[in-house]
Amino acid sequence: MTYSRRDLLSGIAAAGAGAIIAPRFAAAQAKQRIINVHHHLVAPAYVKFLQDNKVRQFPVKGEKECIEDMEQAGVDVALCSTIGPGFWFGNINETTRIAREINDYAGMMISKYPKRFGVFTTLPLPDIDASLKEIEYGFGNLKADGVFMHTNWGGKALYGDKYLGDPALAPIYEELNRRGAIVYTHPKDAACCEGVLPGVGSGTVEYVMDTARTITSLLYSGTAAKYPNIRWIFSHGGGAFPGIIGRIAGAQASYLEDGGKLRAGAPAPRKSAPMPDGPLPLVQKFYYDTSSAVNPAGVGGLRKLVPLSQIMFGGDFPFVVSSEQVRLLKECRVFNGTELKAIFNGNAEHLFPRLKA
Amino acid sequence: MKLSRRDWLGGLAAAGAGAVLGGRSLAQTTRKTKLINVHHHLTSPAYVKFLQDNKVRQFPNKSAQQGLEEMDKAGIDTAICSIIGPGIHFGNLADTRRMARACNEYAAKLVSDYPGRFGIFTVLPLPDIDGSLKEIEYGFDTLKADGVYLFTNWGEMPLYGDKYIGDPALAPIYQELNRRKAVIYTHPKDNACCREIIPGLSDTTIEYGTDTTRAIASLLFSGTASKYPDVKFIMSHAGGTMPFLISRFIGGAAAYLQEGGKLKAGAPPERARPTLPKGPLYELQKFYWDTANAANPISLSALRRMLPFEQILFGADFPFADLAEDRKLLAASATLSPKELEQIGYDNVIRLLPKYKV
Repeated sequence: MTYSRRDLLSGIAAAGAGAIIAPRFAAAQAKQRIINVHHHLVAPAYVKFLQDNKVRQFPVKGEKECIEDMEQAGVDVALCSTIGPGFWFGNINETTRIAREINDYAGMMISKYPKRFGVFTTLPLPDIDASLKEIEYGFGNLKADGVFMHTNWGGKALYGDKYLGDPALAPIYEELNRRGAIVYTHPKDAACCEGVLPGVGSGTVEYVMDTARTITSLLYSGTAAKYPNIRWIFSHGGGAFPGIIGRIAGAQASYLEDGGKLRAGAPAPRKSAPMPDGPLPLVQKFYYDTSSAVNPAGVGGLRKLVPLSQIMFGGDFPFVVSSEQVRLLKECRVFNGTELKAIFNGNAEHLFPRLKA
Repeated sequence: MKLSRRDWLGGLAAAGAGAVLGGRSLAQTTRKTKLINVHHHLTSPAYVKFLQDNKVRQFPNKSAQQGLEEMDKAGIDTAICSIIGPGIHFGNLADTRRMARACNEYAAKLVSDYPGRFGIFTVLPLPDIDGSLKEIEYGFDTLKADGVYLFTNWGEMPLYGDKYIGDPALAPIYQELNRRKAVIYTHPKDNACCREIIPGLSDTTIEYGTDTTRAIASLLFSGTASKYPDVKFIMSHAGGTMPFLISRFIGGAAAYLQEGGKLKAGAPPERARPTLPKGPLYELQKFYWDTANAANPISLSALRRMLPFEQILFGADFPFADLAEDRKLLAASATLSPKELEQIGYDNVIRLLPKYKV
């Protein structure tokens, strides 16, 4: 992609301005509204549950750090989801209880800090009925912005061996499709791949792969096509998914250009029963956040795969510092000023009309 | 990057010329370079029988002669050969050694039957370390191989590896390969962790690309890449999914990557690790990467932003892909100029394998 030198310079000037001018004045002058669709809350009940079960360590950052992270990055609204490794330990009553506590904690944050938070309701999978109840509770009582699903689920405990295209989830998708719901997804440790690479954390390779797996599962199971009213958001720029598009879209992938358009000469789509119009229309309907993909390969690849309207800012608190993600997204120079604005707020406001400033 | 329409048409005309003029010999006289494919799989009859006897999955069983016909049609002069998955270890090491030798000798026979048309990456009878050391010696000294072939995963289990190629158990092999300054060609195969995870979906769709990424992570973070600096690795399929994980490998510096893998001013330092004294980006940029199955602007642009152009090699995935079609798609991706398309198939290859210099 190309943009003018002027775009570049104005982008740099904007990035530098805050440093030179006094912060408060800069905030009043040049403050860009930022909606972060990728913000994890760690509910105290969940932390205790993980500690009791001796699950791996993660950054336990509370309410104070959460607000600080947002302030520092200039995030106006954070849409909240829970974090891995999940809360299915084999006892469904426990799972249902923790899901509710996590959701109520997010509900508390929403009412304590008006207009600063939104919630993606966590579901007590693998229990389908309890998940349906939680969907209703989330949308009805908490005024949730959507539903949260980890990329994998099922299994004996913690590490899922099923993906989101699994037909067992049909009752959930029928309900979500009826509601035209938004589903935010995030990877967690998977049954296949726990400890596959000695000494390499699962965040380095396996998380990113699990997102690719679940996208592929949604496509090839026919789930994505069957429930067209569900709006999916994938974290981390779709993880490794842009890297396998050649294996999914076939020769069409060679003809992709900026915005996911196909150049003249592209062959017909690979149509199949689960993807009657081929994979690209489905892939280009999904939304993707920028978290941890803020580099020319990650978001650079994404903008050749999908229209700009599908890309939204993701911060990934508490694993990374949101202000750093804001800075790196600008630094990687994949997007000009207008495009950045769409990513920081316009696209999210379009998907979540209540967030319009 | 942009290509003018004129470049485009020129490129297409050149690609078509071989086919129109009727073959390689004529095309060769009008060209000063060659087109070398580093990603060409042989299915030796002994291996095919072995897989059939063991009832392993189906694959396109094309003969060497069909390979040559496709090469001619695509204008490919030379193919450096490796075997295909799922591998040769079925639990009996004697069988594994015998099969490795049969595959390597089959490749060597093609090299001598069709001078200039083929090269060899020697397949090793892993998990047998001593047997592998012998095969390395046999490959280089007797068969005059171009390098060694390693699947991304390996192990004791039949067929499906549960170890990666950074595993410290491979140290004797790497010591020997480092001493020889050897080229290692890598390719994914089915692994122990991840078979049939998505019901109904072939493992090649997701898991092959992932397994290459795992092998790269294993080489880097185990310290193998930095410990054996004279070994030259080639990663297939443009590194699988690895370029899309670059922020996870090198942190914030990834945002500062620009064309050719240079870091623009202001890039934060990479996190120091004892296993990577020069950092992960340094090692990534030393590897070579082929274009097979990655002929799209997303994968190719990612590679071009992650590493110097010189590290990119032409790869076309015989017998899984149609070679002429692969070449066409590579041009259609509009990420490499006609000149660069020529360079990845020749200049970049002879830097690594000088014996193919015209």
